[in-house]
Amino acid sequence: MTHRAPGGRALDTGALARVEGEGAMRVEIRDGELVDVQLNIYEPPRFFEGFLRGRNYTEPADITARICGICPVAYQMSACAAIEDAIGVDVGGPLRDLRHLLYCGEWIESHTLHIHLLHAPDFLGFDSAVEMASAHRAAVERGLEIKKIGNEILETLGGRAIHPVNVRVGGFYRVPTRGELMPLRERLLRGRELAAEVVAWVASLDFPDQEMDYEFVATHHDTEYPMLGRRIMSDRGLDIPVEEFPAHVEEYQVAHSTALQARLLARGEYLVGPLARYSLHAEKLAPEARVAAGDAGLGPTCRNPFRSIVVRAVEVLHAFATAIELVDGYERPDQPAVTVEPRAGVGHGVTEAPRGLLYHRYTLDADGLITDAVIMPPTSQNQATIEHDLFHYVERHLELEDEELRRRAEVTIRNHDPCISCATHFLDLTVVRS
Amino acid sequence: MTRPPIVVIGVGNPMRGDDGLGPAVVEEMRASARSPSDVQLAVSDGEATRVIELWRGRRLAVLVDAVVSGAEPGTIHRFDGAVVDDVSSWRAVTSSHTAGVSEAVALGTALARLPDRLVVLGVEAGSTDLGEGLSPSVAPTVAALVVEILALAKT
Repeated sequence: MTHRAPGGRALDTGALARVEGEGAMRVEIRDGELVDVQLNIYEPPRFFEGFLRGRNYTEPADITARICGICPVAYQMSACAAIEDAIGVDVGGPLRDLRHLLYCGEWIESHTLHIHLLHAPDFLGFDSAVEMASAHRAAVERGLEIKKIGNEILETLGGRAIHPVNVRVGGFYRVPTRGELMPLRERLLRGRELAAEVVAWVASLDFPDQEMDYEFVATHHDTEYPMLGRRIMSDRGLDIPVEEFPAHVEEYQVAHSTALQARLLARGEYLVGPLARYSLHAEKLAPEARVAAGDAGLGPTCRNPFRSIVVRAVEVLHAFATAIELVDGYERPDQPAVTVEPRAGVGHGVTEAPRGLLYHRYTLDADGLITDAVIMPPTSQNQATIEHDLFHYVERHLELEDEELRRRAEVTIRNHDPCISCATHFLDLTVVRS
Repeated sequence: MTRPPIVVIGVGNPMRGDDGLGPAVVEEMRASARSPSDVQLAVSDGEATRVIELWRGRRLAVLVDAVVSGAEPGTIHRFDGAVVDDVSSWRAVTSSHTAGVSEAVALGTALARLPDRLVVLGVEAGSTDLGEGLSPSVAPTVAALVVEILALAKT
């Protein structure tokens, strides 16, 4: 919907397309100058943190998985990490490897969905994945095949493809035998081959020139590309253990969103997600992913949000390479989980959801009951930066007709694969010109 | 491993009242052990790419889902050999999160990945509030749908 008043205009998009969840966008232009952009997240708040209080320490892995149908593993992994931190248990060895493998499955599925069905139509000039599928059938079929392999990882380790049921504090309910992972290995080899083709495919798309001055924030691991980590770092000097995160970040409310926004104290807005991970840790990618990134024209960092589709494709290739390595090195542990007895304490957990850093904190009493819970999803943390991107882009393209401006503004939002349903714990576009 | 030629896909979320209709029908077929060996039973959240993967290459796919169209709760809607237009007006009852059944039909058509025959059985939902259990007007349709699906499987 466009409202015109003498001298100005307002563009309202009531429901953003191809984003996860329901949200809206408002752009206000007065006397030919952009005065305001808002990403409106109007999905109702979901109160997960509230109803975790009083629950047992064993429950957040399954309860918080329900926050998202696209990235349940991320919620399970951050929840387990936080509870295990509170109780003082370290889960390492093959159990950690299996968690890493399960997480690879989720990255493959989530990124492949976004690349093929949500983001690629923007670059190829289609309004929907269905229209694109008719014209680019082979590419979409390849995407579906890759996504299915990601699915198979989740089914093999998680018991089912959505909201896996096999994850618990301390590890798993049941762990596979080596023999049970072998059929998966063949599928992963096929996936790696297809994923390399996808990197070359998305690299051939046309990208607008736009370099943004982001502060990138991602988890950090000494030797691994971030997925499971214990430290948090930025490209501007932040380097802290996870337990110090709350002291450096402030969540705050804005009137136009039911999702809290976040900023780094004394530093401001920041970006989590694929661009941040790649720019901070590209040297830790699997060798074939690093080579593919170079061939795709990515430098050591990537500040162009439109090129995030290339980074996602590189991360999918990395996830396949990592998964193969994990399967090859797997020895079945004697126990499917380490014993975790309740104890009073506060625990912090951070892992890398496909969309970026996902932080959980739980306070437990001596019986292991949760007295306080805090969850910071990646889309909440990215909201202010997404609005900044939107302002930057619209400000430079005010000459466009409303429809085209609206379409391109939506693309700037989709660049970050926002998961609105997670963040409410979002999209309509309004452009007001007056 | 060859897949059974027939699949029954129950779509929905059992934690949202009548949206649990599809899974309830699948559960009833499992519990009564009346499902023939050439029929695979599946429960799905309705996400388009997973639904397409389930029905791809089958002789018959029966998809059961709760529907909101404004009809009386408990009304059974039938689409046999559904074309995109028939179901494109369907709105996912509770999921705002993922592409739903109408998108699955549209995408399946674009990719030529529809089953040989697709039957969609939709039941008008009464309540999709939070909580488990079907409403009194929808619950009795479960048994009727099982009978109808078993008859379809024999054709």
